[in-house]
Amino acid sequence: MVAEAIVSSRVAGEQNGKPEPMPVIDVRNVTKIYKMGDIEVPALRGVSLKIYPGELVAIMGPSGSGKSTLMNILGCLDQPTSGSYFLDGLDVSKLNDSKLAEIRNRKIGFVFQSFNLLRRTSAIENVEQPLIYAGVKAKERRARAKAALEAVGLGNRLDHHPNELSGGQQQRVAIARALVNNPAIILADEPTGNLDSKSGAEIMCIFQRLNMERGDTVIFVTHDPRIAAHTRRIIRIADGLIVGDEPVADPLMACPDQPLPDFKH
Amino acid sequence: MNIGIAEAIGLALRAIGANRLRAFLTLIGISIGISAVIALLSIGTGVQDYINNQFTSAGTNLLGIVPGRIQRGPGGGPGSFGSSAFLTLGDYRAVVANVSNIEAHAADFTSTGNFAYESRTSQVQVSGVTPSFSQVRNWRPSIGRFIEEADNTSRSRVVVLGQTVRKDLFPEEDPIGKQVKINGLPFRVIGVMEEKGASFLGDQDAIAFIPLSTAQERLFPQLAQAQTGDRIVSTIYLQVTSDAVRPQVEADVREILRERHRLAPDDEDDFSIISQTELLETFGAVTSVLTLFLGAIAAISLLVGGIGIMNIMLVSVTERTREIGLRKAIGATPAAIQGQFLIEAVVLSMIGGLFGILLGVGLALGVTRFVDFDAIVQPQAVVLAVGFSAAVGLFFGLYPARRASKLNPIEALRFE
Repeated sequence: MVAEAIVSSRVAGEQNGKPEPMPVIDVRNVTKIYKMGDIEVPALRGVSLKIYPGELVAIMGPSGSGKSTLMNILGCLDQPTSGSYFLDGLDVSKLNDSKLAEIRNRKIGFVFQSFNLLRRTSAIENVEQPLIYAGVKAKERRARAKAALEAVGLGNRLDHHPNELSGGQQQRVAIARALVNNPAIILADEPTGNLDSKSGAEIMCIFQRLNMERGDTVIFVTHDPRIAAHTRRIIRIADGLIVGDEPVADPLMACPDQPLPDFKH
Repeated sequence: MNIGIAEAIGLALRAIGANRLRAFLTLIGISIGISAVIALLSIGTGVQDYINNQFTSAGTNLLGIVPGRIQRGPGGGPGSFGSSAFLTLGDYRAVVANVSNIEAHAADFTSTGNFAYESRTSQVQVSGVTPSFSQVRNWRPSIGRFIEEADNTSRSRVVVLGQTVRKDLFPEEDPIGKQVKINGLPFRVIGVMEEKGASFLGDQDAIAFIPLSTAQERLFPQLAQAQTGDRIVSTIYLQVTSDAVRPQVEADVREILRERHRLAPDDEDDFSIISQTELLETFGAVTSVLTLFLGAIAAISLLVGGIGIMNIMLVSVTERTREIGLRKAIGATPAAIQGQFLIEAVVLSMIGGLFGILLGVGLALGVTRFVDFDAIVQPQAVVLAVGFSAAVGLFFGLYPARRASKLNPIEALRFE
């Protein structure tokens, strides 16, 4: 595939001749066909894609393009009809539900458009949730959740409940929840879709800093060109196929000159 | 990926606490069912205990022979009295002389007496008894002495008061040695019986004892006079040596009395032999019917309560579809989701069970304020109730929990 070649060469080039690192996402000729009664609706028609650790990527496409289907497969919420998907070196295309849940828990951090925080649950407890399923002991859980909230600048809002937080703050709690278990990738689905532009910029700033300062791999799924402009690579999808995969020459920086609340890392 | 039980219970309590009113309304059903179980077992145990005590306190291995035939009711309970036949002193003497395996025996003649002391009066039963009555009925005087053989021989006008008549006539003073009038005839008080308490037979203390001969010949000469010239007795008591010989004793008594009463072979008995064992069995049958009935109520309440829990859990699963979707996205396995909802149902049900235990104990104690026996709350009953409520939650929570665990996370996250 042309797109694959571009990515590989680009990344290889950036690595200045060092051996090519293992991609964190390696999707090979994946298809996804939904059956609506007797009719088969292809959502993905053969997608191959590699994403390397430390990338900041946007997957773009109009609705109905297969973008969401691809995100669900990348997020291990769904299985491809054919093809294979290696996440962090592990073939996850044929795992059962329990194994997939474990993979999601350990390898993927989700950030949703509508935050999806648990109501009547404090910020820190929301962030602790993935660690509960990871079997982390209460004391360590609390410490890690606190650190994650501090990393998104909410160290002073630990015990606030979602209804006491602004939209931007709620989304920051969600980001803290996504990164608390040190996932291989953070998948953000229209993370600024429910926010005003100022809060949206704050959120993008956080993602950019997580990417630059911690080396987190962040994948945005969006149709918003402004988000895409803050990334370093845009993958375009239409009609179930990848139709474009290009680096962003001059990514916009969301963070204002003066640093945002302190990162702990 | 297992989530600890303490974590799971914490999650469940949080979810229940988020909707307290709804949880409360749901667990009322379970509470009623469990309280019925507790009250039923506590009262049932209390009744059983009480009945056993009543019969043991009446004397062990006791047979009572009364005139007339006691019809057996359809449930085996005592029915109506039949003929107007009577037993006599001659019958009594013949029985005790000819039947073996009798440890002790007594007879009484009982009628109503009007008691008077100074300006106070009391109308209670007056029972002429043989001295052994005290031993046979396992009932002794608390002060003074009981009727003795000499009293009987000399037809003395002496009386031993029951507690009720003692309270009526001698609220403050010591009654021993005082003279009371029974139906106008003066009697000297020689003792007071210990308190027996009320039973299902009525106030057992509303009685006084005088020598049998005095009752038959001096106090109730007409009433106690049979046409044959013999003296009438109301009851013959036989204490048999053991329960094993009871059937034989009954058969012997029957043979002697039928012969003395000149009954033809196809005539029915004109007397009845009542044994404690039989009465116990009769009351046992009554209480077990009661137990069954209350048990059915408990079972129905638990069923209805369980269905309520299932209903509310299904609503909860639907309402919390997005939460389930999110939990799956962040790594909850289907088993973890199923466990979470199952534990929630069990916790809900067990909270209902705890309320039910309190309610049931309260109910049992409340009921016993109005009756004579004490409810006995057995630890086993509480354990049983807790187990029941957990089982109900488990059973009725399983389907909603499975449904939650099978939700597709993508659709669940998209659910509005």
